[in-house]
Amino acid sequence: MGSRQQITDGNETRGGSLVLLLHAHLPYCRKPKHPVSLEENWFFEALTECYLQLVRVLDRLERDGITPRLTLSLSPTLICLLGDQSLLDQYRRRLALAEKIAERDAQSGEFQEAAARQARFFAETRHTWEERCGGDPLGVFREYAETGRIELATTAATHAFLPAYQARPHIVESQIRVGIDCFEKTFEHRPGFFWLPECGYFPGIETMLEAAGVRAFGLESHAITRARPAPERGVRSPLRCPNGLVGFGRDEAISRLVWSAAEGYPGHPDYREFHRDRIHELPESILGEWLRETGVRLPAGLKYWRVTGPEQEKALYDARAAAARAREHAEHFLEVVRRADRDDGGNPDDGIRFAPFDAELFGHWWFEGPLWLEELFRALSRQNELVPVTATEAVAGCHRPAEGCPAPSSWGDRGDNSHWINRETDWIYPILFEADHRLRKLLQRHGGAPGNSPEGRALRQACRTFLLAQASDWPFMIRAGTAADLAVRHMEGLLGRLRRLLADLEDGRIDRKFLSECEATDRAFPELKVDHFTPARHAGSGSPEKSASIQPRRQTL
Amino acid sequence: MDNSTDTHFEIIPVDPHRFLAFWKLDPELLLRAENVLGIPHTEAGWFLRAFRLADPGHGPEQAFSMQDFPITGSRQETYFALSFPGGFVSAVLGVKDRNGRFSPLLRAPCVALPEAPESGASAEVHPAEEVPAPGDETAFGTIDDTNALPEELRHPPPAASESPPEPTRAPVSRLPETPALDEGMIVTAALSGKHPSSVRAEKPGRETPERSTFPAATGRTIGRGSHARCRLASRFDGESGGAPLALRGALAVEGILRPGQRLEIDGMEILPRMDGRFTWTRPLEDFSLLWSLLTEAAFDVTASSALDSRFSEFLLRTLIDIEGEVRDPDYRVYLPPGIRPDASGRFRLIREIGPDFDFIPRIAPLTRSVAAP
Repeated sequence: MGSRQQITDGNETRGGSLVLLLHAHLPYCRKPKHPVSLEENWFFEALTECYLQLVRVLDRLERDGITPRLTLSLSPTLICLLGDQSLLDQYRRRLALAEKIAERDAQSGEFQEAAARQARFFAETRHTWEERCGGDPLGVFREYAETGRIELATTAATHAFLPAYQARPHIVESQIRVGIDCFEKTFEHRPGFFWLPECGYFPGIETMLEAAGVRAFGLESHAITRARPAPERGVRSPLRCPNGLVGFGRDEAISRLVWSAAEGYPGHPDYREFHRDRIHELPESILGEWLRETGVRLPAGLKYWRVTGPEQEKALYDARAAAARAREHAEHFLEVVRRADRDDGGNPDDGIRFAPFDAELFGHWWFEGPLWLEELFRALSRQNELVPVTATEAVAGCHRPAEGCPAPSSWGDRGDNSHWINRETDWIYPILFEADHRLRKLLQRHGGAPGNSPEGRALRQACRTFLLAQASDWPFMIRAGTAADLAVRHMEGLLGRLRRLLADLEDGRIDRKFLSECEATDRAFPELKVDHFTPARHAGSGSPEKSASIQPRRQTL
Repeated sequence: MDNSTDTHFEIIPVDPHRFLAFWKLDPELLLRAENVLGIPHTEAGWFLRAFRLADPGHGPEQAFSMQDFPITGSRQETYFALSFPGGFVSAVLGVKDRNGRFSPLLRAPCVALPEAPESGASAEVHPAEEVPAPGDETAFGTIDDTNALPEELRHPPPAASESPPEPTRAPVSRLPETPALDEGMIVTAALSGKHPSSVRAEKPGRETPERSTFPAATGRTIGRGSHARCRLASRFDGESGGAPLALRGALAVEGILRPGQRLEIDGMEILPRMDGRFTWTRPLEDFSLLWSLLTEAAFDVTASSALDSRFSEFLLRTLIDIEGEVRDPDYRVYLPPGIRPDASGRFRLIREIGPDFDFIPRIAPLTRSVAAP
């Protein structure tokens, strides 16, 4: 990774830096007994519309000699999904089928042009999947990272909302350790940047991150603006914690341009409509194998219409107009950031704008998102006022960071923890805390069991299931009311399996058939080490100033 | 192995004011604990005592404020609302004897309450200072695994003997029974400015103006006497769902006891710190009552920021603390003048209830001073 001077190739720069981060994450959910599940379909949709489109964007930029300096965070659960060969085999079949349906629909006449365009999109994506990636997009990202064009980062093992577990530091620590372990095995280096799931920060977590070799992490805006002391320049100042780790605060003003449902770019009438999918309108004669493969009309990405407006009636999509709009919006974004820099008086030394986004927004929710991203990097390359840098480059180039302690916070809708801990979801945590208590006892009892013994396997599977049950995604969905029933069922399934595994271990009677089923269903982190779950010399919940020396106050009366 | 009897006590931070606590206590263990602590089971009241700490490394003796919440049940999951936001919070489960002396049993590890983004909440009268906690918790700890009672619990905890000296006190004579302090009574008295016993009927509220654009009705009213009906909520979470307005509030009494003074609020004796300061809060949850408090005359009273001596020799101040969220912008017009939500629709109002509001029947002196201040 180069310093700021290397980045600008000696050109004088007048503005600040832009750290653009895409956080790619999907919850781990496998349903081996079903032909295909909605959760697995999320993965297929994201592969087609997001991750493979990102590969294409990077390739086009590379071809034109543009180095994007993008930071791409890949969650460990997504890494596991992208490494699951049976899932990838299923994906290959699904993509080919989708292409075939679009071709058939093009021949049917009603939406000939739109369907033909969709078929071309699937064909190009299949080509990227097969020829460019060889079925392994992680390999392409690794390749780009090795040449310094992008930076790869990661997050907690199963994207747990970590502030919920601050009273049990070993849980937080196991999330960090397993996450980084998974990343390191895949990419052969440790990440310098760590994405705190949901921007959930609590004092003391930086000590655990430091122990894992992390140098920087992302925060919500008010973690910086309400830091103690608060930096004068707000989120433009990276915040150096007392232990030396640097936190970047999300620049809400510029993020809103992309994120906001009301004001954001993705809602523009020219962009592709997300909700209407032709799959629900096609006759069975056209769907054919699709229905035999999936059993139901799961979303297929056959989207022929544009947003048009709030009305129900949607006009047909105009790809050329949408592309022009994406270019215009990329230039607008750049101009807004530069203008904000100028309004702030500019800052050639260390002014940083941190703009993190969910990667799945780009392509899935906002079909033109990858194109916007590409146009943004092209526009950035044509000027030198604002410099794109990766997260760790920003740390290296930051000579005058503010110093202080971030405020406990998240990027939930009120900036606190209530989106994950509330009356709809609070039943989850007592079960997990009790499971933790039992698991710790079992680790003491069976921790030395050989890995291939029934006890060793059951213990490892219990640890795996325990991690998966901490994912922030399910409480998020329950609270948001999106697929809430599915999320509740999924949580109940996970917690049920966890309880039974723990009970079997406690009783010393391992049900091998049940264990095998669990291993087939919850198969993330195949090389999971149970010693990652052993409470270590962690600091506990503590203030950054003292957290390194604070031991949990756990005395008996 | 059955783990259903394992004792534990955990807290999880939720928002700047609240944490979720859950505990499971073995009933047999509790009985034994009460006995070894010298408190008969029938006379023991169970409490969760929350401490606000400046630093997670601090012990309860260094807490700068605390709140007590009566609890029931050996196994429970519930939310606790603190009167002051943010900071580090630790909590202890314990019992109080008939004199209000608190004996700690289980301590949950300290957690950091999250902070909310800056809000444009109306700047009202805030408490002049937070009330420090009594420093009698030095022996607190967590029972992490209590298949057996910790050894120390088999004897009276040293905390009892290490408690700061309390003010000299005269023999306590029990007060005559007074009506329970309920939410409606607080609001009624606050709105009328009179003792509840003299309030004959609820004061009709100022009518909320009717507008043709008012959102669809589902049955509850905004305030008393209101014609406008809509979906409302009294909490921010859970049942409030898609409600357009949410409120939560608390009544807080804070003050200073002089040496020899003793005070009982809602049937519980106040245990002040060495310097005599204390605080006490009571959550208010009913939406329509909170709405009345927010909109009506109680807040027209000119507030005083100094502690006053309205209870003869007692220095007390009573505050209403209401937090709100307007989720549907159409509802902003119903807010009373002076309430200015921030960009996210949130606001907060902290107002002192005027000096003449001797409205809390359960605030009463146990005895008069026996020593000169």
